[in-house]
Amino acid sequence: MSEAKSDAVERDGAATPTAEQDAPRESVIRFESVKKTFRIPILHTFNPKDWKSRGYRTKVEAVKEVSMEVYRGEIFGFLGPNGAGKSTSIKMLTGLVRPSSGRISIFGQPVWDVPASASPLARWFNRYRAGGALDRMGYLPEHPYFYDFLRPTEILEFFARLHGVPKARRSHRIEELIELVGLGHARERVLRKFSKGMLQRIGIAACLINDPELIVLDEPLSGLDPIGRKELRDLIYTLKKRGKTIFFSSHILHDIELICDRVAFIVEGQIREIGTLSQLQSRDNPLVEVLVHGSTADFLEATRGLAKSVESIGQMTQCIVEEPAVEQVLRAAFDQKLRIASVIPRKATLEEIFVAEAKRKEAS
Amino acid sequence: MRGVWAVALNSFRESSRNRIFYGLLATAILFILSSLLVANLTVPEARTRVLLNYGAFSISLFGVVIAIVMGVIQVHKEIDKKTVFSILTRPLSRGSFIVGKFVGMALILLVALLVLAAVWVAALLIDAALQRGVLTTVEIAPQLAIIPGVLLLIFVEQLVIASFAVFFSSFSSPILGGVFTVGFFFLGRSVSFLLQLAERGKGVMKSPLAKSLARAFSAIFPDLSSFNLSQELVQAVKVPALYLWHATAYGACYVVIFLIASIFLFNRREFA
Ligand SMILES: Nc1ncnc2c1ncn2[C@@H]1O[C@H](COP(=O)(O)OP(=O)(O)OP(=O)(O)O)[C@@H](O)[C@H]1O
Ligand SMILES: [Mg+2]
Repeated sequence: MSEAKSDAVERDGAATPTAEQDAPRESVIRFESVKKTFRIPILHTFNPKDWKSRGYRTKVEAVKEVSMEVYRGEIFGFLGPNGAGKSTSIKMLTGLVRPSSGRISIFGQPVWDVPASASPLARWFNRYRAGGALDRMGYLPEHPYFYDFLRPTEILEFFARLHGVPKARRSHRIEELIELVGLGHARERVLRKFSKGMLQRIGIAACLINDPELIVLDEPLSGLDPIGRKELRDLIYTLKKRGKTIFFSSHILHDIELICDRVAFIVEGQIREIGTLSQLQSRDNPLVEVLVHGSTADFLEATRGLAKSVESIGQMTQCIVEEPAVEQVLRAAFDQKLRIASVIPRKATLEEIFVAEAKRKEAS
Repeated sequence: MRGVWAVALNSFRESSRNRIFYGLLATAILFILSSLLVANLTVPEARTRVLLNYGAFSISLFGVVIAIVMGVIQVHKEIDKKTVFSILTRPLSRGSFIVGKFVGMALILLVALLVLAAVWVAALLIDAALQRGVLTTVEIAPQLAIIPGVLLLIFVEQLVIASFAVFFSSFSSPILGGVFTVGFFFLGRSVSFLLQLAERGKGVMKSPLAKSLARAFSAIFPDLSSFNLSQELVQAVKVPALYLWHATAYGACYVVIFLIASIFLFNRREFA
């Protein structure tokens, strides 16, 4: 895509909705067929009792094929079950893990490229090359952990120094962030005494210390209580409003649904699906939930062929039906003189898409 | 460079609040003070000698222990507890991180050394006062004059060991790192002894293999006994300033080599 063009769109700031859809958007993160294979030390897998079978594996394909693009100003959800390769992908982005192959760029700059012409020594050193981008980026690791014996203000002070935040602005910024993440009451405590959720909160503050343009969060909602989650959701939304780009991984689907512009599903190291929520949801016929009081054998018989699922929940019978079949189900209920409790159109939740994806994977 | 200093101050602050550090420091102080008791068991003429020897020995021993423990804990804990995740993903090179850690450790070692030295000198002075009824330093003045040089070289030795601990913990586990660093310390202390044995050539040491092994060891490992001035201290032999300079430069070379090697390994390392 052309940088210049998208820049122009940004600068004009007057892009109409249609123009926005047509014009290429500036990509902030781009993965191009990224792969990562971990080597496992043979000592960890070798079983002396069973050495002949060679059942020990020395390689793990954590990420098999990830290609995706995150655009400026969007909230992008990176979803997948445990062990799918989300954290590994994020670590490759932030320079902690080196991709086995593929390209990753941030703000259009490749971050891991070693030119083929590079000397063996350069390859040997093979460093992350996104030093400049790191100043424009914030990263919340999966289970954030900081020094045991420092206080919240001290750790934030440290990170602010690493970013070269001028002294005059530092203490103001730190106070602001501590209030923002609601740790005002724990100001004097050392981090060793922090609970999991409190560490998560200080991690969020640490991630925002340099007022980054791009915010990368690895399971930001884990460890937070319901109020904390809502606050974080609101915070992410506010950040988006201020023009930030947010990329985050999660498996708490309900939370993602409310705020994401686009999502990607990753299953066993491979991207399965990328799109906006409505794209993913409207792929199949919309579903409707019909709830009736009681049930009869005839009703069950009649609905069995029509509904996707029929379940009795206490005194009620719940039928999940595709939209065209609703009328027939209702008629069957009338015929049996069953009282209808509710008829509710149901969009596929992310959870259902998620489970369907995982199932499809298993089937294939 | 701003990163180096920030990391250094931070790790100094962190370890200065660590109970392990204070535990080691308190034990060292008790050790030095106990030399006052031990001195009472000896003949009066040997008194000062015991105090000097014992004190220098405790400072050097505990300095080394602190250097090993803090060195291994410092770097390894960062990796193990994943604090590096939030540090290396900021605009800070991995080299600056390693150097910063080392400087922070040097600061904490310096503080420990100054505290222990103060206790030691105080013990010497108190003993002198108690023995002669008045506080007179005249008799131990020659020894007191050597003490700064002794402390300097103890510090240099600690830095060499600390850099080795950083080197090892930048790629191995803490226990292994600790074990190797202890081994490194003993080898370094005995390198010159081994070489002497080989040169004089008696028994097993006579073989050319033993000789070349001893030579190889002394070529690779720093000769830590050159930082040990306890003989000079006890006999009140003045140590030439040139010797102090040379020994310091010698130690500095090893520190630089170990740090470069650590940076080299750390740069290639993945944090998964
Ligand atoms: N250092 C490593 N060595 C070997 N295998 C690893 C390593 N790190 C991760 N893996 C493997 O890579 C796969 C992906 O792990 P990853 O942590 O990226 O999953 P995830 O999607 O973040 O899962 P979760 O939702 O549980 O956080 C897993 O099978 C894991 O066992
Ligand atoms: Mg993860």
